[in-house]
Amino acid sequence: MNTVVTGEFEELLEVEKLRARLLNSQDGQDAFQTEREEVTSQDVLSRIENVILGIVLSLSRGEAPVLAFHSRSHWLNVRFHSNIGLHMGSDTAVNIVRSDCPSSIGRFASTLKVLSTVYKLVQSNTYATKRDIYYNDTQLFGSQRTVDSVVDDISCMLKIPRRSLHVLATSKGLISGDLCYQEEDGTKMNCKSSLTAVSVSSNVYGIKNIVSSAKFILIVEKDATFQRLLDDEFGSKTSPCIMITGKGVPDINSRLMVRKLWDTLHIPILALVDADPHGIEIMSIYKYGSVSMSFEAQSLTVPSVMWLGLLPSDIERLRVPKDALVPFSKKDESKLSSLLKRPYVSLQPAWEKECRVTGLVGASPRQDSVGGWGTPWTGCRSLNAKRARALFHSPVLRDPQTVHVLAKTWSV
Amino acid sequence: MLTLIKQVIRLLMVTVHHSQKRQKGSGNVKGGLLVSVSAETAGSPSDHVCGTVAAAGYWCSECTFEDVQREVTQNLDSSISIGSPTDPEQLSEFLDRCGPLRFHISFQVTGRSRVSEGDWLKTEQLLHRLSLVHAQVEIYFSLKLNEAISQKIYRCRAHWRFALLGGCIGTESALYLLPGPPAGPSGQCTQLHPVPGAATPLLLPHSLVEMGLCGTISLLPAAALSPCVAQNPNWPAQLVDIRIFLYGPSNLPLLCDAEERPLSFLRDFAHLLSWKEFGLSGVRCSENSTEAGCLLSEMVYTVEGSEQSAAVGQTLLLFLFLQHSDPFCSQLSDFVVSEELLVQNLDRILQHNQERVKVALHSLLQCTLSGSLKRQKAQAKMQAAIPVILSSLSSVVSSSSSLAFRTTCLNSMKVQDTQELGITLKQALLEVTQNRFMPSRKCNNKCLRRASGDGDVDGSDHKHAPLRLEDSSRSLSGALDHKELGVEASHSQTGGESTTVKKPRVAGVSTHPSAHKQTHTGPWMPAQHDIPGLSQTQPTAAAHTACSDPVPRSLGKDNQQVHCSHHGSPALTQSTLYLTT
Repeated sequence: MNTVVTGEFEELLEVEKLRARLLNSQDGQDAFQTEREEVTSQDVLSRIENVILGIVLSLSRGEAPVLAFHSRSHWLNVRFHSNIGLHMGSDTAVNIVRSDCPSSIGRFASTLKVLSTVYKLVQSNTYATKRDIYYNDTQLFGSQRTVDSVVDDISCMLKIPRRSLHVLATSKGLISGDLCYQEEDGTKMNCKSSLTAVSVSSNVYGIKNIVSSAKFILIVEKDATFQRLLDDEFGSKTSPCIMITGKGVPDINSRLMVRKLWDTLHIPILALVDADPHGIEIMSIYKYGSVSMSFEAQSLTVPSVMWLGLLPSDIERLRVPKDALVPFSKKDESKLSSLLKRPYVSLQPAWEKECRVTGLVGASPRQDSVGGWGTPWTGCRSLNAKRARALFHSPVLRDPQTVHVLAKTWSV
Repeated sequence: MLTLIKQVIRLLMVTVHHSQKRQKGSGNVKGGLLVSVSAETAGSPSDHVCGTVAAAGYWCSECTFEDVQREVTQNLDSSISIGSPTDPEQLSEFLDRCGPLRFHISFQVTGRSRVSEGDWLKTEQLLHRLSLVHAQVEIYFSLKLNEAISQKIYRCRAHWRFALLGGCIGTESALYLLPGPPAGPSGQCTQLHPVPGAATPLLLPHSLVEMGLCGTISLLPAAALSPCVAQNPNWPAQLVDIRIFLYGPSNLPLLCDAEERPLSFLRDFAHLLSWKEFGLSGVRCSENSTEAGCLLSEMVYTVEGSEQSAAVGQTLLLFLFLQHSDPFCSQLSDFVVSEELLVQNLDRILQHNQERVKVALHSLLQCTLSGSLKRQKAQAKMQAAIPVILSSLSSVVSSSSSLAFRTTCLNSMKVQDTQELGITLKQALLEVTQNRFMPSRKCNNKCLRRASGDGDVDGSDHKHAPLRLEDSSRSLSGALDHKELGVEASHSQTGGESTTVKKPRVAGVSTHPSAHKQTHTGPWMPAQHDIPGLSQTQPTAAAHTACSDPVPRSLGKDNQQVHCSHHGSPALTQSTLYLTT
């Protein structure tokens, strides 16, 4: 009995040490986050009025009004900082949207439409989803994607987080595990059910009273893997944890949620993604952010996210059968070569090595392959304890404590 | 007389055409063609009509015209005799401008002869049509009716030509008597941008082969839109009419007279193509004006539903060039006979090859009108977006509780309330979007920027007005000012080849035929200041405007007799021309 208690105590101690270390490296980011939240409704209204005034003044001078947006698609506009991730530089290139050009006037009109909608929402202190805005004038926007992009552009242009624009987005992510919280409207959410997951809140900023005894957070790339882990009652078989999936490339709410949990709980966050370029990309988005949302990196990235697996080197180490591998497509190869140029990859030799291994293998485990190799997790599950340990002893996962904790608790 | 002149021109052009085919690629060599007629009609002491046709310069330097001379003299009517030009100075001036004389014939009709205005109008129209596809040749037409003189010069500047079929299509929209684009705040393009189609071989019906028409026949289409609105992408533009210009194998216009019925193939053309593909509801045959000052085409079609549009009306010029080659023809008479046979039976040939012609025209129209279709779609986008922009702007301003913001908005637009603000914003936005100017390399830009208070003519009247062709035409007609004349004078100094125009000029005006008419101070006179006896203090405008109508002119006294000659320089001396106004 004493041995068991001592073991659990050591385990918790190791986790606490890891938390403390991760926290130390995040101090700068927290300060930035605090600064970002100080945008009042009056600020939002003033900034929109400035944009409108600029247009009116242009017209009064007989000039065609234009809107200038920071370019959100160029790596040249992005800087990398290990504590923040990918963030937009101060001297960024801008995209000009003209009002007198047939190819851009639609964008110009859409932007103004969204701006006026936001203005009203902020004035009346009400919220609308991007879907609501789209259905307000489907002919103008053409597709939901246009609204998404326009809202992000406005957020970037006004330097205001989307939440402050009173624009919400329907979440696509799911969350489950040892977690209870309260929505802004007072609704209590309990994610402890072992069978069904809860949708990530569309108002993450409004979440309060988070209660959890989870020891770690597990980000799962794919919804299928996530469901499989739920079915296998992964949470109840291991130490208490929180599982979250953004169902592929994560939406803003899933990323905000991960960030919120980190800010509140300060527990290790592990990413379980496919051993292919897209898996690495998705894990990087949680950890370091994306180019298009780099202007809001401070509220979206969690640089403490750790790459659990499945590592490309595991494919060889675990002797995954060749017929269970799917060769890379040209898109995969192109993605890999783009990954190798990323600043965060070149700064981390272990990542770089794994990426190069990915290139050498030139294939990823097939989803429906026999022998339980359908997903990284099912792959892990089919392994014996020795191989599982080998998986956790990855060179990227440089935290022996975490490995120790997981190796002991994750005794599938 | 008209028939004779037409006959001479035809023989001349057939000779030049076949000579060019042998030489290959001499289409860009410049030169001139002179047609001069002098008539003393009933009531005058000497009742006669004299005519001169001359060709000079390098465009026909390789031709031998003995056959033409022979053909003409052999078929002369008894009342017509070969003589000398009545106005040697005129011929001399012509040679000075166009180069060495290559061909010349003068003839005289003695006794009472009927000279109707319609005859000369037809000659003028023939020469005009000829000039469109022989832009490398300056064509001079002079008509002296008793003491009244009327002159026309058809010339196109060197850089405004489009080489095609060994000749050049003139690309100056004014050559086609078409209005230029509406005056705007920026430069305008007064040029056509022809799109050549693919030459389509035509099959000869058996009956024609049996009649002796042999060789290969093909149809080369080319099209151009006028006015060019490429530099003003946001101007609403709409195709208003289509004009067909049909040219025979020697690039001679077919010129269906008003009395003649147009080719049935051309009448069916309205139903031949699927117009909806080109964004048009349909076309219908229209009346071809044969009045003076109108360009005669073989067929005119009006685009249905274009009458009520406020958009800039565009004309589609559709050139159809027939090409014929018969290796067994070598004599001028053979060429003329086969060409006549071809032209007489053209309708049957076109009907026989209806599908081929349809495919060729469809493909060409797709290329030519694709830009118009894109423009229509762009216009639709603009029209859909502008109300959204305006309502969004008004919405924010109206619902704002910031006094400073609202006041600044109202003050900047110089309005009292938000309702006025909405109206003013709409006007301002429409103006800035419509007047967008995009310089294009292929377009010639005529800057119209008005220096403040200089009183120059520009499009400022249209600044807030919808773009209407009628308005612009009105503006053009009133835009012939002194600057314009000055430019033409400098143009003349460089022999019509000047590419740099330093003086400000009015776009869409300078190249208008009426401007041509007005700018000549004498018969083919090089420059105003070179005219002895013409006082610098004379009202130039009076001198210029006089030429648009026949004007009396006193001729030099030292005229020399010029006899029929060809090949080589004429023994002409420079004569001085005096202009009285």
